[in-house]
Amino acid sequence: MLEQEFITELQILAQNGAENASRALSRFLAREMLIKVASVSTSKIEDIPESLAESDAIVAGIVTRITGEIEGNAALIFKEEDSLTLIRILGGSKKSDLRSGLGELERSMLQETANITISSFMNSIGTHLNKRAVPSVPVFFADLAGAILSVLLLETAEVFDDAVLFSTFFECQHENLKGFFVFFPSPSSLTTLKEGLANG
Amino acid sequence: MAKQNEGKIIKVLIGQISLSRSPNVLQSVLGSCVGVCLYDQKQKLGGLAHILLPNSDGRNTGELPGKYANLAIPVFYEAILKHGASEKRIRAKIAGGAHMFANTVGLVKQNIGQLNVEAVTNSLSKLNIPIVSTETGGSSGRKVEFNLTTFELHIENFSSSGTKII
Repeated sequence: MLEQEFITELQILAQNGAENASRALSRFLAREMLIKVASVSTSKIEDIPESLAESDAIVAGIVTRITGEIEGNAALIFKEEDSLTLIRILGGSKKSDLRSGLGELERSMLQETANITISSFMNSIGTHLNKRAVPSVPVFFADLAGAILSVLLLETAEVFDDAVLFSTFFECQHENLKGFFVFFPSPSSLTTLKEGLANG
Repeated sequence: MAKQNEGKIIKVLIGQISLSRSPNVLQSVLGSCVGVCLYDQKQKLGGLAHILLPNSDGRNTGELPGKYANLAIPVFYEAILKHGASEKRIRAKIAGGAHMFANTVGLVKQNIGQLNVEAVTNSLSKLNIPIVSTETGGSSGRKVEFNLTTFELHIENFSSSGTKII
């Protein structure tokens, strides 16, 4: 795991990445998306899902694999009611819940939202560290928050009992829309992050 | 989900093993993880293990005794015996093991859910613990509650409406 001094340095990266993502998301939605919290922390694996959302909450999770010199799993996650608000903002069909399924257009809207957010965040991190970090095409899943987050953690959990977690909580007060972004660097990428910071 | 009387709902988080007695209820949210219930009905004693990965591959459990199936089941078995369960009466129920994110490039290398179910089944078999019922597989998460009064496992699968009881 990373020492506290590196976590502190990563915090600056996370803030820059979150601001970049927030600007891109605000442009895409034509609404100001404020950053509520942007942080990097080392947390116990078992505590992470509940620290981000109620485990049994129904959420829209748009997940992606980050590849390149910095690897890991990332996701943009909205509670059910927030995802339906987001779809409405983007002009999609009105839906009453996620369980009954979304149309192709609505899924595509959420995936594009995640693509813009995650790409902006990773681009900021990658540029600062001079390392490649490329998101794959994001894929939408509706499920329980705990189920989605536990799978994102698998790679780290194989090696460690703790995980380094980048998290950014967004909010659009005008629309009462909230969501959060998470990135779990793979264990092998922790060394790359350290090197990048040392050379930065 | 089951109505609560005087009992507490105890959340069993990733990699944890929790033992309790009636009237409490043990609860987990599972994706590719497997929830394993061991219980001795006569002793009114039961537990839930929230297992994350199939095999430790030589690693130790670290701080999470329920993290790896191959290590968790023997630890769980010893713990329930220590609390007064009888070897002959211990039974198991299992749920979870979904193949999450099946079509997401690079995110999940293999069907961890299925591997978890196989590893749990093998470990229970080695200890001659009968599996009374299972609700595993699929591609969606589940919320499970193990009622230590009735020893029913209540399962809400995200992809289907209602609660299944096994």
